[in-house]
Amino acid sequence: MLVFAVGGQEFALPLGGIVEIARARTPTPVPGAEPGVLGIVPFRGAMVTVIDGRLRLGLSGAPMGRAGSMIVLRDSGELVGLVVDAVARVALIHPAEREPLPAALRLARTDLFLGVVPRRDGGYLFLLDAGAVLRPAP
Amino acid sequence: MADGGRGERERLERDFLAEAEEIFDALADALRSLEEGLGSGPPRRPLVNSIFREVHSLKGLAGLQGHQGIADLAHALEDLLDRLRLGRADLSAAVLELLHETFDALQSEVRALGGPRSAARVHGVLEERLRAAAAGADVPAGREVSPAPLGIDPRVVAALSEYEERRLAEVIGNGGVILLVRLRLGPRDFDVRLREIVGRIESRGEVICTVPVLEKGDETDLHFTLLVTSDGGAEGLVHLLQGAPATVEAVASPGAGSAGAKMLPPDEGREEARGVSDSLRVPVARLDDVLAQVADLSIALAAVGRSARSLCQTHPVDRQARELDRLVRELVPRVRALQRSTIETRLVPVERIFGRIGRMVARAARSAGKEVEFHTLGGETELDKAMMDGVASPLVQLLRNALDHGIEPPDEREKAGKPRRGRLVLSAFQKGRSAIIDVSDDGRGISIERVRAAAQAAGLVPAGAALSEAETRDLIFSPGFSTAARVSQDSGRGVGLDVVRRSIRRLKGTIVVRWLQGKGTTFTIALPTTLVLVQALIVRACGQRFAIPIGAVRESLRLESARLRRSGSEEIYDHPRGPLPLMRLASLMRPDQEGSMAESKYAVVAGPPDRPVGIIVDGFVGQQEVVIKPIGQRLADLPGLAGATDLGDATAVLVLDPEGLIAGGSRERPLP
Repeated sequence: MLVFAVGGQEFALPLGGIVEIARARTPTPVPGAEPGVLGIVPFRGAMVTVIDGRLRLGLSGAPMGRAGSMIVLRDSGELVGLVVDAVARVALIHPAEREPLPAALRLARTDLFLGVVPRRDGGYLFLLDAGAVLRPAP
Repeated sequence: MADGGRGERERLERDFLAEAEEIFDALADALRSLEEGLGSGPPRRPLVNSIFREVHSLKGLAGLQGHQGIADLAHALEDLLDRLRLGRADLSAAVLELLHETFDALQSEVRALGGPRSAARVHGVLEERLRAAAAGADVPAGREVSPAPLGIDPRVVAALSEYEERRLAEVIGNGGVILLVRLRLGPRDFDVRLREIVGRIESRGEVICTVPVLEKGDETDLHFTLLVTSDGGAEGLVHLLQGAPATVEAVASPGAGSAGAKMLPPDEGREEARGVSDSLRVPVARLDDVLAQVADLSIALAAVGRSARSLCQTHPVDRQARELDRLVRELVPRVRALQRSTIETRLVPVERIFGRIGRMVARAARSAGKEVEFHTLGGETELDKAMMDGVASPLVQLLRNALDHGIEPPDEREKAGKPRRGRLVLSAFQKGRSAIIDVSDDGRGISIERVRAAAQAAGLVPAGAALSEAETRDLIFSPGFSTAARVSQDSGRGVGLDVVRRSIRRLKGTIVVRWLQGKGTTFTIALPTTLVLVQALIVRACGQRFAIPIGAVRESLRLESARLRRSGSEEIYDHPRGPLPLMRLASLMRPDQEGSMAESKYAVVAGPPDRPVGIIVDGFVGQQEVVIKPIGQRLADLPGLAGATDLGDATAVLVLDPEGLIAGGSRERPLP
């Protein structure tokens, strides 16, 4: 899984749907876009819909600007870019390491997560469901 | 057998299916030409020859693939065609009907092969009749068992072909179950969904016939009645059709008599079947990938070009730098040509849909009890594959309207001094970078006074409003007009036309209507040949660039401030040709904010000729050919946007669709 950081937290996405990791560029806003969608940028001859990782993952703080990386994912024939603060590493996560979401966390959207992996420092690595991340909040 | 062998066999089977579809396309057209020539002497020999050749290749291909049933039936058909072309058998209406039935049987058999399980079908009777016809005997009539007593809707019975009636009788005779499936499908994607549902039924049975039914009162959706035999019985079928907007009724079963009808709730939002073409050998998605790669290449080349140019400027005397710049410049038109030809591979002749639509219209006419002849012209006109898929439904809707409301019943026509048979014409031609499609009928036309009265009754226009004739005609496309079913029926037309116009707009096309009262009606649809590559005007506004397709631009204006004025909330420019309403792109980009009244310097005039609108821009950047790329589904399907493009600097530029922009900005009501 690809591990990346957004708003001081660590998240992981399955490598399967990831097309490429690119530098985030200023997107062109599109009117009428759903919340969390920053706009579009051209990418390899197509258009990528750019999603603000911080907003989408329910983290507070200012919306992301142009800094950071864009994780380009393929979603039913379309390309979607998730803007994150930084891409950290690729990690192999054994199913046995995975734990259910701790209820105490009180997350805005529990449907985004497949589970967590506890870290030594007491924090969690959040395992994301790629499909759910690409859908807006219900 | 080894895996490689199986893969190979599957590939061959896929090739066969694709090739068979092409043969069916050709046969459908040829049969129609045959029909048109019927009654005016013996059939043209080249035509019969071409049908013979197509059937012959189908026979050969089916034989190679081991589909003996198809090969046998094709063989019997070939024999008959052979005698027809040698003049040893006559082409009567009955023989023609037999050719149609055989064609239907072959096609449904081949299509069933693509499904998970192919139902074994017996074509013995059909083969016998073909042989009898080839021998010059009268084609025996097949109406021995009438399905009417089964309680099947007489309109459906009227539309059954002889083959279908016979097949029905056979199934009942063998103690089989006949089930009636009623479908109600939205006009936008009915063909895809119908195919999907038939596929589901055929996984456990056989669809004996599919009849489009005109439902009074429902003028938007399309209704179909399917007669089906299924080994799972009514319950199995109900289960199979879960989630589809269908009802299942048993009309004949061995013991139980007619079982109770069971209603299934319609379920929208199901996964859409993919609209991959039947006979385009390359998956469209792969073509799009190639297109995206070529676009990527041309953008990379543009970057190289910029570097070479700046190298040239910093080292003006360096011969190598100049040489590099020249070489790159020469590459640009070549890559552009490559891009253009890649886009052109997406173009397909409209013949493809004309043939399919023609067969549907013939059926619908039979079930509506109207006599019509259907002609097509300009089938070679080319359209983008995606456009083709989108335009089929609106065309069917327009033809259905013409059948239902335009063409009068035979007796009424006779009284009006017209031939009993009505005439429907579907024609297409290329006009620059557009394809024009006309749908004409010689029916009763529309009464302009009645349209006006109906629109007033529906509250679309205030009483006593002075509307031009063009504006009045335009009213029949209003959503309110079509929902007032009774009113619009009185006025002769206007049903579901709002849906048609929306579909056409979605394809960035336009539709207008003309009519002559008592003489007929013509709808003219203009569509861009492709939505992918267009010449565009690049403008600046609200701090960003926009591309506007040149075809939509009537005029570019430099605004003189003395001619600007306000009228209520509207800005008006006193153009020498008349007052021109202005609109700002800021209201599209940030609809929540009132656009600042910055200085207006320039405007791009677009919109229909009788109601142009000026779009205020800050400046013109230039004109160039752009490749329009779709913007993702996540971004609202905004009527004013055609897509986005990359001008070579890695920034997305929105491509505007002025028609949609203007329509969206006007008082058009949102959908209920």
